[in-house]
Amino acid sequence: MSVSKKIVLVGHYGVGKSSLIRRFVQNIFSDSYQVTIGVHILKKIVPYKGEEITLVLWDIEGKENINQSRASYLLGTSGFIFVIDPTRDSTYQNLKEELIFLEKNYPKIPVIKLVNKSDLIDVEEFKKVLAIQNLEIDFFSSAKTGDNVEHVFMQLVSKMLGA
Amino acid sequence: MIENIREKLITHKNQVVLLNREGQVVASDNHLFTLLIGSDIADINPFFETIAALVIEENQHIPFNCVIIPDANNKPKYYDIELHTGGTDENPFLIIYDFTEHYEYIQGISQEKNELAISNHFEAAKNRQLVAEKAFKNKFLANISHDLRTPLGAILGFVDLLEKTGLNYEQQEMIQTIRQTTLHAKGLIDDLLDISKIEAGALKIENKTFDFIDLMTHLEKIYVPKMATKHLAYKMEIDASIPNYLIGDKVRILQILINFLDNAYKFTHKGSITLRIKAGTVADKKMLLLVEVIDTGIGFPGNKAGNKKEIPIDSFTKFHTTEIEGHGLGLSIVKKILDLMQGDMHIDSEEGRGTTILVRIPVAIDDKVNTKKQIAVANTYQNVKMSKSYKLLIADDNEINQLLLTKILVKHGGFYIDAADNGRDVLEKVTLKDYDLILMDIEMPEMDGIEATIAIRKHPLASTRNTPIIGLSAHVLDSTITTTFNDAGMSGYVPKPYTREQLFEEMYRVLKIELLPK
Ligand SMILES: Nc1nc2c(ncn2[C@@H]2O[C@H](COP(=O)(O)OP(=O)(O)O)[C@@H](O)[C@H]2O)c(=O)[nH]1
Ligand SMILES: [Mg+2]
Repeated sequence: MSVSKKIVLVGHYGVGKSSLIRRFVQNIFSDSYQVTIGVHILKKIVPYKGEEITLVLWDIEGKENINQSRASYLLGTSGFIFVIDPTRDSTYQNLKEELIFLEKNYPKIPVIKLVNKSDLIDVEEFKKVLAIQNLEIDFFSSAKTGDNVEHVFMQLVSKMLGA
Repeated sequence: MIENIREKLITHKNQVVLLNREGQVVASDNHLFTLLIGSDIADINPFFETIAALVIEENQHIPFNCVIIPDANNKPKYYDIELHTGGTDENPFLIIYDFTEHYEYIQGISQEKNELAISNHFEAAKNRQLVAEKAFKNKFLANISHDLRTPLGAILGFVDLLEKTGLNYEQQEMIQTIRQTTLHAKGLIDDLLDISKIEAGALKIENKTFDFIDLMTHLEKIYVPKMATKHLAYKMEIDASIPNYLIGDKVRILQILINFLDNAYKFTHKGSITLRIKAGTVADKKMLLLVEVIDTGIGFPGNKAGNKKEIPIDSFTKFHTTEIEGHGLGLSIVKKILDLMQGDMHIDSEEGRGTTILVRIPVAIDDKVNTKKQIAVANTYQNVKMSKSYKLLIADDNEINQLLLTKILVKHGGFYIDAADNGRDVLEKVTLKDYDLILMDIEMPEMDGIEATIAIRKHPLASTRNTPIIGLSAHVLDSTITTTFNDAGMSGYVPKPYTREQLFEEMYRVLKIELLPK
């Protein structure tokens, strides 16, 4: 049996969690917004160092706070992707607190901090905005153009597998 | 019956699946999903991939609410799934409940809620941006208006100085144009400053004691000569019961009155303009000033004569902005100021007959200092005592010169002015009316100033014969001509080009107007 890893995408509603997973798994994108309630799970098998890894991707209902999410959804998670929307500052205003929450409740589980919808912004300008607020981000992606999506997931894989 | 209902609506809405600790199906009632014994539960959906890892720990009860598992047609179905990991010798089991209907309903609500929240967010952001832009614009406007006022003030100051340097007619005329244009620009800039203050909410209404009579005197000084330039009768009917000292914003009240009077002036070409101010009822030291500005001007188009009715302020402002020269800011500023003062205004108008503006301005009475004072006679030359208004006849064939002279006289105040084009015209006019003084140009067609003077001095009526005459001539420095003037019977002369001071000095001398000690 191949290695199976659970990845949960967290962040506010509407930041593009479902879109990122759909882009990664099915390589499709839709501009229309379908609110996710509950949890929707997709999987994708990826090659990693000559092995096949099964990624079980949990697309959960976006909440304004992670601790509002149903605890069972986060059970057995191997990696988180925290997604923010650069066009809505409310999606990253509590980023620090959220990361502390994850760190405390899921110690040692890798978290990737991702700015999605990079197609809508001037990335360099937004980096300045983040710098002013003293926020550190790992990657920029666009589920719409597909830019960096695959790379982000693969970076998480290598973090999870401790490369 | 009950069994039937249970069978259809409850039993078949859930499924129990017995597993082994590897996550393989041991038994299942297959109410929802068809599972083969020994198959991997994760085959239904990747959700179950994690189950295998969770069943390792015994005696756990883990609920997963609202798990989406698409059906064969890829339509989302919503399930609540309970995992019971069981004790040492027991099998773990799952209970799966189909709550699709319930969650579809919830999904609809969430969809609406989130879309609304997101669009509100962008609306709010847009608003914040608009507010910031507006604040920036207002600040910019305020700064630029303020900065523009300083150089304009300097221009006006130098115009005043320049005017006192002994200018000829033409130069006087030009300097007037410069002053008018600069004042116009200053007015526009003041309005802009007001607008930016109003928009920024920074316009504050003062509440200070002011001298109401002074205010009226000031208006009289401005409008008596101004209205005379268009031959309009200007009447001020001020209720004597209005106390001398009021509490309010004097500058803004003046601004309101000036706006309406200027409007009336602009739209009235013959007839009269009346400023009437009455005291409203007094209660608790508060009073309304009931102001009416009544003109006999062009009125508001569309309001047919005989059908005087109220005009909405907005249409009036719009009409003024589009139909008549001007930027129309004045009226909207006045409206805003009145709002801030909690006053109001109404406009009654009739096409071709005129407009009446009714304004109510709340003020308070300062009775600590109320002593009655008379409205002083308007007089821009404060250093002379004009015991009455003088009737003047000006004779000049050049229309521009006539106009210039009229302007200077009107500005001075205290003169009624008639004009004649030549000597013969002068002779006709003096037989119809007695004048206090004739200002006579010498070079005129048909009959010149000398001939006319000689004729007047021979007039049978003493009152006509003795009318003082001042000759105005470019040749007056020539001593032979001076003699001619004297011989003809002139009472005085002013050389052309003359300054205002030279003219009035001679007029005061001839009219025996007393100079007041400074
Ligand atoms: N322009 C742009 N729009 C995106 C991107 N990702 C998602 N969206 C849009 O954002 C909205 C919310 O996306 P969704 O994936 O449902 O967000 P979720 O609530 O986090 O799952 C949808 O209208 C998407 O089309 C992106 O990278 N660029
Ligand atoms: Mg979603």
